[in-house]
Amino acid sequence: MKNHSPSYIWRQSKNLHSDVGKIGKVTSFTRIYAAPQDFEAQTPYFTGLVKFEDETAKPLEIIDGDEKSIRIGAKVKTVIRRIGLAEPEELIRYGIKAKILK
Amino acid sequence: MKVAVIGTGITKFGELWDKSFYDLAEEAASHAILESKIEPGQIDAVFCANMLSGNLTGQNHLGAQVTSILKIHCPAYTIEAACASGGVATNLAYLSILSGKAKNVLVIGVEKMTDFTNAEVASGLMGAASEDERQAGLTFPGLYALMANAHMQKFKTTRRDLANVAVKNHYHGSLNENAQFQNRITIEKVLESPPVATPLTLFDCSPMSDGAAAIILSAVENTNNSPQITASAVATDTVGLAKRKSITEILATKIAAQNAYKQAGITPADINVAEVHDCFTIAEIIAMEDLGFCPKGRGGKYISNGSTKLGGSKPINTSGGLKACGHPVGATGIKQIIEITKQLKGEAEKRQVKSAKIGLAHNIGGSGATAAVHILQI
Repeated sequence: MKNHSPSYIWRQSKNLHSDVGKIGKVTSFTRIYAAPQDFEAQTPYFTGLVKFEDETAKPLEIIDGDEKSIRIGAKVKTVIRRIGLAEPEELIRYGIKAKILK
Repeated sequence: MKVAVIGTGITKFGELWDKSFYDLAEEAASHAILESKIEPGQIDAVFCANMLSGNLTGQNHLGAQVTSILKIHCPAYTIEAACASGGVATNLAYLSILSGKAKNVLVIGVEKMTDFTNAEVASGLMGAASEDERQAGLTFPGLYALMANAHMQKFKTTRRDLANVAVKNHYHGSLNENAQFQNRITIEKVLESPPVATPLTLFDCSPMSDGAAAIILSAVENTNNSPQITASAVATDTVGLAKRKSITEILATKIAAQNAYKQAGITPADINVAEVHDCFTIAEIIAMEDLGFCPKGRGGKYISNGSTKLGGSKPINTSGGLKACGHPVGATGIKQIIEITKQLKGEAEKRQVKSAKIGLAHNIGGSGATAAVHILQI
């Protein structure tokens, strides 16, 4: 069940700035064809695990790449993007995605 | 005092559109009670395993739903540990008997999934993952696909190794009249099926299923011809994959298995038959390694060389596993105990493992945040 509370979405977003612009590497990835409700419109899409230079790791959608450039070891940079697709009356969610560096 | 499995009851698994949650619960529980030869009034506690009922249908308070079906008034508990709900419920039931406060307990797992769309169930199941994994658009096939890709890269596990798990488990399912899928498949069929989360295709994934499974555990001095639970262990790990040291193993399985082997005083080599958590084909490969059945990184080859097929040295998932028997989430861990019970009693019919004396059941929740391991002996 999705949490629609504006305070919940605010809590998720309040530290967003500290996660932007980080450089990392893809440690594993997959291309999703069967998606959860909010993500159905964007299938197929890439997502995976990214390990940053400070040794922390995050699961992130991987964007601006294809089957060739998205691989284990690929270099990425974190950027702010819209997350999933909100219903018309909901707040639009923003979060971090991993952009493939060419 | 010993804890024995004195009764079992299981429904068919599959798309059971004509049966409600209550129909399924009643069918499984009634059969388990009948087989145990106790009266419903002699049940001292009920443990009901379920994951999605509250989420999908809005119905909670399931422990009392089960006691009201049986017209009894004993304490009842609902247990949720994602796909390990059944294994964790069995562990709690076992502990309640060891406490001395209960003699006979009913452990029942029920799940009703096929009334809902794939996306609704996929979203519901993601309740077992971490918040950041939901934000990343991950699904359960997706999480296991991440493990599969890493395993393939590190240990040269192949798509064919993954496919072999599905082929074997469909073969076993073809020998089980309660299995959701009783058709045999080929490696090509698996490889050519539509992608779900690369590298996993549709036939790498366990299905959505309706079904129920129930057992009666009892404190006994003499087990007669009933299998005894000689080990019951549960371990946990981080809910999200990103915080783990390795995603090519499931640490919770390794810890629970080590504790279980110690409790029973046996080694992995002593296991004659096992039901393991093959929610996706890669999960069975990793389970072989984590349970100590083969060296790390060799799980794919171990299955591909036929060791784990009926007739091999260590038959795995004779029920068909989650892949072919079906995966009604809350019922799965209890179905595994029932399959091992049947094997040890020599009642597994066409899929009987010859002179099986020691069996293991391995149940995972989420992407490995919970693992339950039980050892049964006769």
